[in-house]
Amino acid sequence: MADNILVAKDLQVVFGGGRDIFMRPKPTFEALNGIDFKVARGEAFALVGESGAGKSTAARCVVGVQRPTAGTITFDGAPLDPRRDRAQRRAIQMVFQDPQGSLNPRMTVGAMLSELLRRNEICASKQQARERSIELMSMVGMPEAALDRRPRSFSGGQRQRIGIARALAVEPTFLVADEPVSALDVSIQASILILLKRLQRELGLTMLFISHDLAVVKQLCDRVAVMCDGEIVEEGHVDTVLTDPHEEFTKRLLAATTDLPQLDAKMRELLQPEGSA
Amino acid sequence: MNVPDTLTQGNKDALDDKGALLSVRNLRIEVGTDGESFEVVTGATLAARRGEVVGVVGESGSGKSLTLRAIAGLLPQGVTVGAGEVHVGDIDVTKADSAALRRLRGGVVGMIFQEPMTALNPTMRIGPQIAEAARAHSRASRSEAKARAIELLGQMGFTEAERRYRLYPHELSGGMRQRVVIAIALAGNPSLLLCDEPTTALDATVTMKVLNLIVGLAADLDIGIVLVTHDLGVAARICDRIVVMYAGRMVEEGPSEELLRRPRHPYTLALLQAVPTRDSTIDDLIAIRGTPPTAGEVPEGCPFAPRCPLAQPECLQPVHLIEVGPGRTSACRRHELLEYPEGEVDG
Amino acid sequence: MSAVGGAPPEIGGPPSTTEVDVESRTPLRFAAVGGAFRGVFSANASLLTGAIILGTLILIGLLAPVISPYDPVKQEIDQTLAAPGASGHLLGTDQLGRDTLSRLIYGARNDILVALGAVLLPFIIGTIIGVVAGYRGGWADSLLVGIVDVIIAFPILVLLIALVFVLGPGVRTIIIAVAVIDWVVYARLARTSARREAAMEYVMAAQVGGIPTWRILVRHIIPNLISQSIVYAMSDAVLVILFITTLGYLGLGIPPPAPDWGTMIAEAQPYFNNQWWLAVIPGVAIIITALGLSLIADGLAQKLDSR
Repeated sequence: MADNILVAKDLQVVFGGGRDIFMRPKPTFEALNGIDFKVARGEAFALVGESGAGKSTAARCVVGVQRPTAGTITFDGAPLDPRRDRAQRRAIQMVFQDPQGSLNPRMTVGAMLSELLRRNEICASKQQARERSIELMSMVGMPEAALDRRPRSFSGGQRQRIGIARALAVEPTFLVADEPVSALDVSIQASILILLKRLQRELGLTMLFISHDLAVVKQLCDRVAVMCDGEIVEEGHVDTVLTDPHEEFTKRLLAATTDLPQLDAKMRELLQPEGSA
Repeated sequence: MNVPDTLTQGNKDALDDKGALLSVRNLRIEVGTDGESFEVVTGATLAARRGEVVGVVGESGSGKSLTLRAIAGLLPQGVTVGAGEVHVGDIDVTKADSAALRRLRGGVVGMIFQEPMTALNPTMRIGPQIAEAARAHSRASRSEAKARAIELLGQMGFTEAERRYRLYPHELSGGMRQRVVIAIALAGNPSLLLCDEPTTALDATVTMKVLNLIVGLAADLDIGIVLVTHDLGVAARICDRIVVMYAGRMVEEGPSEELLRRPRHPYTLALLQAVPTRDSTIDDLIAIRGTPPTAGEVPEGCPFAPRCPLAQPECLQPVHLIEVGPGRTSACRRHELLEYPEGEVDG
Repeated sequence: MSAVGGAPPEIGGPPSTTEVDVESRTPLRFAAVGGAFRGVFSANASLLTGAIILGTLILIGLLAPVISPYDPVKQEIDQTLAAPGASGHLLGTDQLGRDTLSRLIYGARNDILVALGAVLLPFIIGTIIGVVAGYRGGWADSLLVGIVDVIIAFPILVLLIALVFVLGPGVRTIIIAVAVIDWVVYARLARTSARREAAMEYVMAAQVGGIPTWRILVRHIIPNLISQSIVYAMSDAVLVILFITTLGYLGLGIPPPAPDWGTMIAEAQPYFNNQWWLAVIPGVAIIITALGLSLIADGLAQKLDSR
């Protein structure tokens, strides 16, 4: 029996509703139609679907910035609410999609990390916060000098690294990644995915991965749930779903996935010369 | 500086062919004002024929979109053609006056862009927008233009075209809007269709449909299509030939399947190995170290050299496109490293 | 730039400086950067000139007791209506023998300093209300929008004058009147910006990171919108100066005999035929002040634009 760290039951989110100033009912939009999913401890679980499928909404519920209209989420046995205590808040953190908007343009990287570290009482002094920030930066492959710069002096890939460092600052056990590579250039995506995989393995993180791209999901995740219009239409191990999809929608999604010829080993070797170049 | 004008056999055929549509030679595009200007595209050379789909693949900063805009004569303020020629049919776009360009655009060259919503007038119904484009390039009467618009909607896959004629853009989904954009581009009966990342803003399944539509156009309407994209998967699906650009230069060209299976430039190879695909796993992926050079800071010699695992000191010398096989060119001095005969694959 | 391949990892070394995305940013940007280079230069010219003008005027106002040649309210009956330059009065005297230059200097003190003070209050109040409403959304936000729309629908100058009339003239009234009416524009400006910032992912990141709301507002949201408000405040100050001097002209401003440019103009009206300078000089002072503030606003706005 899998040790499920996160269990969502009948999760429902309805936007809109209520009445306007003339007492007419306002239109509603069902983003999530009562979905169930479980994430086992240490695994990487993906929610995959097209825009409007509801996957980002589900992620927001897990992270606590969206209140579900109905349904429950439990984390490590305890119920999860948008208003959560510090322990739960620290345990679940998020990596965002947009390298542009996900960092405060007016704050240096160091100030941002320091604020998080000290507000969450991980570090008591500026000095400690600085040391810890340097460690976080090196975990994601960024130099100490980056701490004194503002986001605008970094490239998209570097900003995503900083965003990952930020998510790890409060020492979470559960990481939600919402389309972390979609806004990046193709050649940079690989490095971020490799980084995420390495961190997941080294830190033993559980991951909830949101994406529209099955190929990306395949690289990183163990199990996947395919979403469409607020519902989960298919679910299973990544390899199984990708080789033997049941649902029509899954098949269409799979057919649309990047399909390039496999390069043979000799070509790969050229890219990673053993010994001297 | 004169760079040897290397045309692949594919390009040469396209130009000799009476159906030669597009010929771009040694295009150089510069940005900036008097005194401080720098190149953002250098030595771009490509051609397209009726009925074929040519893909221009590159990441941001590669110059692919600017090259496309230069073909349509649509370079923005401050960006100019420094050298080279762009011939569409008989017209040299780089030297044409604005009246000639206006006739060209829509009538001979159609263009579609990435964001369907901003390409459509939100206050006008879609049918009249297509009809308006049709009338701009022919002497059609209102009713003739309307009929043409309805015909185009049908060709784009809209059922009940008569009824759909009266819809507003916001009543359509992203994929449908993009199809309307394509219809508008085709309304003037162009022989060349330029597409700048037409599916990037669309969902994956919709992308498939739009791509199928585009490739169908090449065959059914016998038009030439140049498709700019950053997505190798997209290019793989519908392009007959692919041109790869990096930092404003062409680095490789060839028939699409061959190029993707046996790239002859380290950048193409590295790109292929960095893209997550349906069959790859995380351990297959190899990240390309470093970042692309910023415009104006492109190094002497091969622009990819700083990041290239195969680079040698000789790569600091200027590079040109070399013909490396039938219909294949590559800008890599060390391209022989990437050749080996078919069948000689290690077990 | 070293070019030979090797095996250092992809990371390491200083991060690359501002990456210009040629495709989407360079073409439009470079025309803009070229223009902006000139723009920052001319913005600096604008900003610099305006700052010099205003700085000088404020300095004059602050140092009034020191640099004023005469007591501005001291009347010298035997020296009324003297022409500029005559008998030790650089700008002449008015109908009561008071030195024009001194009145001008003290007028600067009253008008400019009161104006700046009168702008500060609505700026602070309006920005705070706007930011909170914009961030929280919901009914608080709708309520604010409603109030703002109602107040803005009125002609502001009329409202202000009516308020001063009701409350009686004086510096305190002026400041209260301006505060009560003018805060709405700052609130609207702050609200729009706050809404936009609140939707950004970095704010969500701060929320997820457990940063308390007040700190998010102060440390994250406000710094990202304050420059726009400051620019606006500069142009608003022009309006307030005009308002104060209009009040003075109407006799509702700073009570006499305290010098005020508007009052000076009003009092000079009957003598316009022969001693035109009595009315024109304070008028010119008002124009110069307004010019200085506008230049600052312009310069700041240009600087913000090119960022």
